[in-house]
Amino acid sequence: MNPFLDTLQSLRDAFGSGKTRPAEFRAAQLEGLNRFLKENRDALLAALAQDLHKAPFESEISEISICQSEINLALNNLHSWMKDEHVSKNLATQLDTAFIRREPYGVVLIISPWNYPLNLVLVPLVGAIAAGNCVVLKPSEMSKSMEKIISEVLPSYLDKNCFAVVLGGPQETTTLLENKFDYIFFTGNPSVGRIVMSAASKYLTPITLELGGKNPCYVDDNCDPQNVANRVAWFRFFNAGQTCVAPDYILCTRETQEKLLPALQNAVTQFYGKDPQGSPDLGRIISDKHFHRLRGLLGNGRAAIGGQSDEQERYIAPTVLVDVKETDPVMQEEIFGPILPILNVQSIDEAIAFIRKREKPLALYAFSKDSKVVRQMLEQTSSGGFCGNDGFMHMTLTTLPFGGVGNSGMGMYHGKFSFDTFSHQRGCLLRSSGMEKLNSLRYPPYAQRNLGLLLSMVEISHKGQCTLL
Amino acid sequence: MSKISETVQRARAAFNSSKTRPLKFRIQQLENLQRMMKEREEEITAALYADLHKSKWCALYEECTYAFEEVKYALANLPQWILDEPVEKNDNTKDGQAYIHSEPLGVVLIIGTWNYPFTLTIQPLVGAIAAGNAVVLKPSELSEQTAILLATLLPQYLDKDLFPVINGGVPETTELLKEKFDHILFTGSTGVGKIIMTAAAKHLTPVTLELGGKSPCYIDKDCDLDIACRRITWGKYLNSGQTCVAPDYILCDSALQGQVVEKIKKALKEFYGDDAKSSHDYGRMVNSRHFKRVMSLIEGQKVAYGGNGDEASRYIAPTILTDVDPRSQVMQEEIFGPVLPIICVKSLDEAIQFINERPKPLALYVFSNNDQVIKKMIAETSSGGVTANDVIVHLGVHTLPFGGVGDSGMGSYHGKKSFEIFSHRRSCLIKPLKKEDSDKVRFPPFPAKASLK
Repeated sequence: MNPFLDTLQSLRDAFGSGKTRPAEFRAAQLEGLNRFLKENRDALLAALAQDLHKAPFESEISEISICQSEINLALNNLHSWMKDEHVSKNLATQLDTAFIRREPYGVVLIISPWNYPLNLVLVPLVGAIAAGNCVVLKPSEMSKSMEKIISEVLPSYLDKNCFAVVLGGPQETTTLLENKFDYIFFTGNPSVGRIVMSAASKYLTPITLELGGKNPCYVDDNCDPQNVANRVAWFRFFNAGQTCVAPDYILCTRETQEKLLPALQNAVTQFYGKDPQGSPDLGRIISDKHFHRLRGLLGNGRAAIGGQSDEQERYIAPTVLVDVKETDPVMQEEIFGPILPILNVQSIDEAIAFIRKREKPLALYAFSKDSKVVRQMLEQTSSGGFCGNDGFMHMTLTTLPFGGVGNSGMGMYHGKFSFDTFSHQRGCLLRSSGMEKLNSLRYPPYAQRNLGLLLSMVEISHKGQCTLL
Repeated sequence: MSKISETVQRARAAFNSSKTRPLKFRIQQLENLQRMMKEREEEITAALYADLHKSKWCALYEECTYAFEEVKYALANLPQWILDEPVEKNDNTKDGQAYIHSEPLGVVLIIGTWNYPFTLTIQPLVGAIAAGNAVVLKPSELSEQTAILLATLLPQYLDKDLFPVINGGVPETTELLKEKFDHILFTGSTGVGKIIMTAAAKHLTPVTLELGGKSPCYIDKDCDLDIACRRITWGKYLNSGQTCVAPDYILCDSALQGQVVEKIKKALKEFYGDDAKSSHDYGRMVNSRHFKRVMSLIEGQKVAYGGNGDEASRYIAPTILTDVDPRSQVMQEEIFGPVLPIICVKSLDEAIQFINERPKPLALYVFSNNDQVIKKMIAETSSGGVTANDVIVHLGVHTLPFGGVGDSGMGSYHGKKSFEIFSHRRSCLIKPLKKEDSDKVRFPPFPAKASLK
């Protein structure tokens, strides 16, 4: 039994009717999202607090404000994004019109995770709607309060014929994926990413996979330890470490480690007080399963900072581990919690070799006062994105594409990149019936003289462009 | 370890040595490729004749020139493409540099196909090399002479470790697909495309799939029918119809059908003479299986022209079918042969509906003097690409991405797009390491009531 057939058919019919094509329709949907955010701000903040113990400040800057910016960007630029992109032509097509037409794919599926349950559902949704698609949303069942708002409140702000929310866990998602979609956008971990891509291949559905990995954070000897510690700590412990682009582990020399530890302790105390469990600004772990997983990692190496936990609250203290071995469990999987292991290397070359042995991460960080060091790290590694001397600030720039590479994902979005991701870019060439004499060079019978003439046309006209036809 | 595994590992080790990173190296490899095409033209055209009965002219014009132009275009533009692209910053990031840095993906697999066996392996190869990757090439075994030639020539001109050619059939390809690649570009059928993507999913390898479908060709009442039919004839019967973007079938009003048949017949005689079999310029089916397959599509149909074939030489006459029933076999699969069905529709709307009821094609053609007709046809359908008032030629414009949508494929390439798909476009933000005012604002403890300035 396929419980989704009816829903999908009505979305497909709505798409086929052409109603999502006009800019006015898309803008109206985006305005709907705008109102959704404004009118439900308190409820959204409450849901985030409930699901993840997120402080309102964190929720504002990492969820609400980002969604708002993306909606505004889309509204402000929709017309220009939708315009046909005229391209430069070659000599043979000078009199023709050549352009790229961006068209919606059709019915798009967005599967979103629990860690930024508003941001990671709404930002792709903005792109999918702006590009003119109908959308099925499958929010995470683990962030229950937000799931409720997405399924019960959000639909009333959007056209019901063009938009649906589907609920459920792995079982329901598997069934959902047995259906045909015209695009699938998935944010989650690499193993599920493989399952999604495999399911998509049955229908040749194009996909974007925003996955994860262990994001290395190299700290050079030439740095200001407190500055580095402040930034690394904040980005690591933000949302209790449950961020796909959080620095996952530090690589530095022993000497730098000795300077970093007190600086990190300073940062933790400054941010969360002497008893971080009492701070309203520190998040909690999403579920018992993840809490137990993380608690198990606390025993790796030695906890130089933190190490405490509280099962009742699913609280894990901001923790820094030292004397960690490459083979320890904490170095085998993406941590996704407020635990920061430090591994020692003797040099940047050793750090680079260490990083290159492993899967390409979603983000990579390098801290150094020496810009050559930062540049070397950039050039000799690969990762989804890269930030020198800060945490995931690169994500806040909508002019930078956000996405992974290799095991950390494929495809990208944010800003106009979202619009392009959810669009098919159709190459169009409009000719006229004229110039047929010129065309005749290409027709059989192929005499030797025609070949010479055509090839000489190619030679003369070449300015890095083709003149075949 | 199998030979295939060893070859791929060697390519990976060569990539990891970073030798493909400098611009100079990539330019040198591309120049060598260019030289190869100039110096070995005789052997290349001979192989294409052996595989597909392409005359020297066809081989050069339909194959080598496309590949040649692609490498020229890459050589001229690569110094530009390889540069970091700065992007606009916001207040939070104004002290730093923000840019997109293009990097190679690693080891790329290019699986070629048999209908344009030279250009459809070389064109993607150009992009993959330009982007700094190592490339494993797997030419199609159906175009055997070209496959053997590529395996002979490439090592003579390109780095042997970085750009190996692996030949073989289904078993070798299956084994090859077990290896991890950083991108796979496949040209071929929809069915095999699904197999490729499934294999790629195991390693989370991104794919570009250049597939196919039935590319419709709508002829409006208001058009220059002589010219339309000449152009359609050229595009349809090129390479004996074995072109992924050939106009597969015609949609037109029944009042036009008779004239269309007559004008196509006229063009055919002009191009290939009364008996295409004795024309130097008319191709052959690639093998017996495809010969039989296409001949069977003619069975039971109303043949307005042609309809005969010769199995020994794999020749199928240029054929036109009229009043074709959309439910018949010839309308169920991509024809990929010199058989042109005409389906009668009463209006543009009916044509659009017909097209939309079917899988999205790789190309769509519309012939009309009326801009509104063209506009509507494009706006109300989808396809990989479009040419209005001609066929195939949108492929020759380097600035237009070439690819499919839905069953006809995913991703695209040609020109700069090739460079992009074979690169990872990495977002970079570099800030100075000094204390900033913004640090104070963003660090906890947070104000109790969230209020952003």
